[in-house]
Formats: sequence, C-alpha cells, structure tokens
Amino acid sequence: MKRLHKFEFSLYFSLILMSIATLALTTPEKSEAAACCGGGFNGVSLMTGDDRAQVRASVSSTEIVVDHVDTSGFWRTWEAQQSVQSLQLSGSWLLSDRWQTGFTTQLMQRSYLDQTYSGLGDLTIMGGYEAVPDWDYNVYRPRVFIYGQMVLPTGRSRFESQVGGLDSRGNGLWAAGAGVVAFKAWGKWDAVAQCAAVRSFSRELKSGGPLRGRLEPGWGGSAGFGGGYNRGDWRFGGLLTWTYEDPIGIRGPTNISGSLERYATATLALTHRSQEDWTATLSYADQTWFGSPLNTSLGKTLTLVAERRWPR
Amino acid sequence: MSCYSKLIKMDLYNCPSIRASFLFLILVSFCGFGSEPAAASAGPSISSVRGVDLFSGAELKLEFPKTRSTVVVFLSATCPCSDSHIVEIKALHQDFPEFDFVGIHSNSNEKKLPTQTYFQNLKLPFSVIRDREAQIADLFKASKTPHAFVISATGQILYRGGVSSSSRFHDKVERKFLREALEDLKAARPVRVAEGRTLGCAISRGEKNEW
Amino acid sequence: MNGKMWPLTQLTTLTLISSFVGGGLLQGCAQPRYETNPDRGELGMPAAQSERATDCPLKLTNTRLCVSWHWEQRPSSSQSGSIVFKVYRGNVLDDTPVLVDSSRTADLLLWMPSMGHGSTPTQVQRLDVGTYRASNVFFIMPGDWELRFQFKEADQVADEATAQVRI
Repeated sequence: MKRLHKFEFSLYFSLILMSIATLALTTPEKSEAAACCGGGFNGVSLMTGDDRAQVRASVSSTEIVVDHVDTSGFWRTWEAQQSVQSLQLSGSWLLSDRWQTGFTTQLMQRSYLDQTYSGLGDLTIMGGYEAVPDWDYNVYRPRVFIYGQMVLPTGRSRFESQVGGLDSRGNGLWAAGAGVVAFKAWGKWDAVAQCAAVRSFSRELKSGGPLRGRLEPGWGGSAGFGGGYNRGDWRFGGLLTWTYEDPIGIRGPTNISGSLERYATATLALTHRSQEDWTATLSYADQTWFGSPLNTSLGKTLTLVAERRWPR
Repeated sequence: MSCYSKLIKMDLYNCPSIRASFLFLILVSFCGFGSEPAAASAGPSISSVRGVDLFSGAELKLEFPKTRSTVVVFLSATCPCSDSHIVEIKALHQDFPEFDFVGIHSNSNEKKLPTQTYFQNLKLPFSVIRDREAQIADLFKASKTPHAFVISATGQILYRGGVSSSSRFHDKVERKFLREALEDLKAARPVRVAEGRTLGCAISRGEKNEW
Repeated sequence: MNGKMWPLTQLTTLTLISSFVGGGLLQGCAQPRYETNPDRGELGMPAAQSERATDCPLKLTNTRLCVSWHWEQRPSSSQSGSIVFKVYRGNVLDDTPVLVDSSRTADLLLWMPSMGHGSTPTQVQRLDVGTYRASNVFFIMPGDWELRFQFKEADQVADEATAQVRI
C-alpha cells in the first residue's frame, strides 16, 4: 500500500473542500482521460459565457469495465477491475475583454484488489481568446474560442510505475496544445463543437523505474460535438468526444516502439442552475458505446460538478 | 479504408490529411483574431422601424431621416440585467435631451399582461414598442437585453452594444458605453467605441405568444 | 474583429459539425469484440518452450547465449506466479545448448507494450547453474505482454531476450 504524504493530501483535500463549499455547477465540457493509467488530454477550464471568473470543483468515480482493448481491437476483461476516484479543481478568469487564463489540477486515487494509490495528477495551464464574439445576433454564427494549453507533468508517469501503472496519474510528459471550441444557442437548444491538438515532448526516464532510456512521444488530439436542451433552470445535454494519441516510444538500452491509443467518450449531463451564478451538474460518461478503441482501457464515470461564476 | 472512415475511427496516425485539417481549423479560427471593441467606424443604415405601442397596440413607426438622433434600447420584463440598467437609461434620457429615446420589447416568451404591468411600473419617459415576431430585433441584429443602438438623424447606426461593461449595472461599472457614445456625439467628435460587448439575457425568438 | 472572416468561419464550423454528427452517429457506434477470459483461478497461459536439449528459442541480443523458460506456478488474476528460466551457451562441438551461469545479474521485466506500463517487479534468484526462478510474476490486466529476460551490469541492461505472451 502506498499513500500520498499526509501533508500534501490534507492540503489539497482542504482546498477542494473549501472550493466545493462555495461552488456550483455548470455543463461539464471536458474530455475524459484514458480510463487506465492517467494520461489523456485533461479538461479545459475555458469560460464560454459572459463571466469574468469561474471556479469549478468536481468529484468523479470511474469503474474500469474493459481492462484492455488490444492492437487488433479485441476487448478483454477480468472479474476484478480497477476503480478510480478523482477530485478536480479548475479556475479561470478574464485578463481583458477577450483574453482569459485558467488552470486545472486534480487528486486521483486508483484501487485494484487490495492496493490503493493516490496523489496529484498533471497540472494544466490555459490561455484563451474569444476569436468570434457574439456582440450581435446571427442565426448561424457560433461563438468561437481558441485556446492554448501547457501540461505540467506533476503526476507520476505510467512508464515509470513500479506497480503496473496503478500509481500513475499522468503521461509524465510536458505537453503543449491548442484547441477550438464553438458554441451556439437557438432558443432552448444549444450545440457545441470542439477540437484540439497536443504535442508531448520527449524526456529521459527517471532512474529507479522499470526501464531506462528516453520517452519519444508524438501528437495527440481530440474532437467532439454535443448539444443540450434547456427548460427553466434545467439543462439536459450530451457530448461525444473522440481522443487519439500517437505511440509513445522508448529509445535506449531497451527499444520499444509503443502503440497508438484511441477511444471515444459519450457523456450525458443534467445541469441545474439554482441561482444565477451557481450551477450543479451530474454527468455519466461511458467509453464503451462509441468509437473503435485501441490500446486502451475503457471505463464508466459518474461525476458531480459544482461551479461558481462571477458575471462581468 | 478511406480517410473519412479513418476520421470516424480516429485513425489519425495513418491519415496525415486529417491532422492537417485540424491544424487548418485552428489556424482559421486565429483569423478572427482582433482587437478590443472597435473604435469609431461607420455602421449600417436604418430607414424605418415599425411596431405597435406596448400598451395601446397602436401602430408606431420610426422613419429616417429625422431631425434628431435616436437611442433605441431593447428591454425585457424578466431579465435582471435589463432591469438593473433602467436607472442608467432614465438618467441618460434626462442628461441628453437632444436625443430621442425609444424602448423595444422583442421577447416572444414574455406574456402580455406581466410585461405591460412591468413597464407601466417603470414609468419610462419614452415609448416602448412591441416588436412583432422580433422583426425589429432582426433588423438591428439585437441579441440580448439590454442592447442599445444610437441612430443618427440620417439613419446611420453610430453605436451598438451594451449600455455598460457589466451585466448588472452599478455605480462603479468600468465602462458606460452608451453614455460615452452620447457624450462623444454631443461634443461632435467620433464615437470612441462604436461597438461595445452586449451582456444580458438572450432575446427570445420564435416562441408562439398571445401578442 | 469585423465581419470579413465570419463566412469562412461559419462554413468551416458547419462542415465540421455536419461531418461529425452524420458520420459519428452512423459509423461511430462501438462494435465490441470480447475475448472471454473467465477468471477460474488459472489463466490460459501459452505453453512455454519445451525443454528438449535442442530447444533454446530466445536468443540474447548481444551475446551467443540463449534462454528458455516455463511456468513453475501459473499466476491468476489475483495471485502471482513464478517462472523458471535457464541460460545456455552453444556447445563448441555441435552447438547443442549447455547450461551456463550468466556473469551478469539476471532479471525478468514484465511489460505491456500496447499500454506503456509494466507490472509489479519480479524477484529473481539463482537455483543452479544457469537456472533461475522469477517469483512474484503478476499481470495486472489481460492482454499481450512481453517477458523481458534482462542481464544487467551495474544496474544497466547489458543483454536481453524477449518472449511474447498473451494473458
């Protein structure tokens, strides 16, 4: 059994609790990471409304229902399955009328059989720009945001895990990415489309891990679309996102070419706006419904999100 | 397997053209890169505005050219952002008597009696036009409430956008866009901000109502 | 920002949305192909190499030595097992396998190449000349794994032979 240092865990847990106590929820617009072993492209903390700041906290629980989809597309699963719980905190605020910045961080806990590992995941920093604002009415023109992201590998990489990736909470790589989000509302209906590309950077594997050498990653990305129906203070929405990552090779005394990874995540969400600046969202995400996954694990996730927004 | 099938299955590794498409889309979005709210520039022209009086139902029309410039403000009976700006709009009416003011009500989801009661209680010193089927809103491309326009005597839009830079009006808002525009026009200088960000509730269009 | 780029942005956005909605819903449904692997307490392991004197299929990359292995205790999805592996050199007369101690430290690394992670470290002990036992062999998930028989000098891998197994 390995546990996060008490001080670190209590510090971050207190921060999360304080945030949850003052937060409300909104529509989750996040891409799910790969169910197993950290990695993936974490959710963007982008503000897409007319707010000057927002803080979001989420609690999620993932059950890994398919342990492995291999290179040929065969799905394999055992009776004993991993589960992952995470607390995610994100914040964003305006720098000027159209520029914004934000961050996302999370605590993760992964369990399998009698083993449990927890710790800090990757930290993501974002800078965004409202490329196409909605200063006047147009029936077709969406509101478009572009953003850049930098991922700081504060979570342990699965390549350096000594326990089969159970204690991994990220890819362990510095990464930079850019993306686009387009949002449009027509009366009670709304739609969103998004895509992003990310480039991870190579680095030397740390000593003490199972392998020596240099990680050689490539490109990754995601794309998706979704929509929702609004009635009073409620919104029911869905989102479908495809995620892809180039093989991550290892060069050194041991040469491994790696395998590409891809999966699709379908999300259903129910959002309630209890007060004008507070929203709560309950969402369910399933990675077994869509797509042609390869070289990944697939999970089902239940998430509760609280978000507080400060209007302009 | 065609690139389309590869796209659906996200087989991007073997389809460089799809990777290039994503990069192209991101670059296209960068083409919208622009500056802060536009400085003074000529806007489109309005020739006439037609509707009915909110209370009496009598036909009302604004026709250009006129003798004076006009301030047109789209308002809502239920939107708190619109309601919070009423005090500023009334103050502007008092501070700038050289401009005509008119309110427009376009929301199709707001019922007749509560709307009339609301505007009656406001005791606005200018008329409020009921916009049938959001025709006036579409003409102005008004998107939210409040959404303000300043139209010259010849029908040219000199300012369009929010009344202020805040969704809820208060004394310490950072920018009072509409007031600044009227000050500039009164001083016969170019409007410093011809298009301000609009904040508030989206104008409801398309719903069937009793009006 | 002015209206000049809006038509291009609209066209691109509409095209992208249409292609994703149409293609995604029509073609995007998952078609799971399950490979059943019921947990009966013993995994369906592939047979290890025969121990006939002439068999030594895993050649080390940097020397003329070779490795053969077999399950001593097959692992399950919840319990670890053990592997016995042997190191041979070729007989100078007829190149038949002859057990020989490696001058380097023997190790066994379990690696899952498609997922980019290993498993819990194994423990290797020498049993006899050229004969080693790797215990704590545990696979954290089903799939295609590599058994990497490594021979190290000062904690650096100097030589290696790899066997593919499907768990």
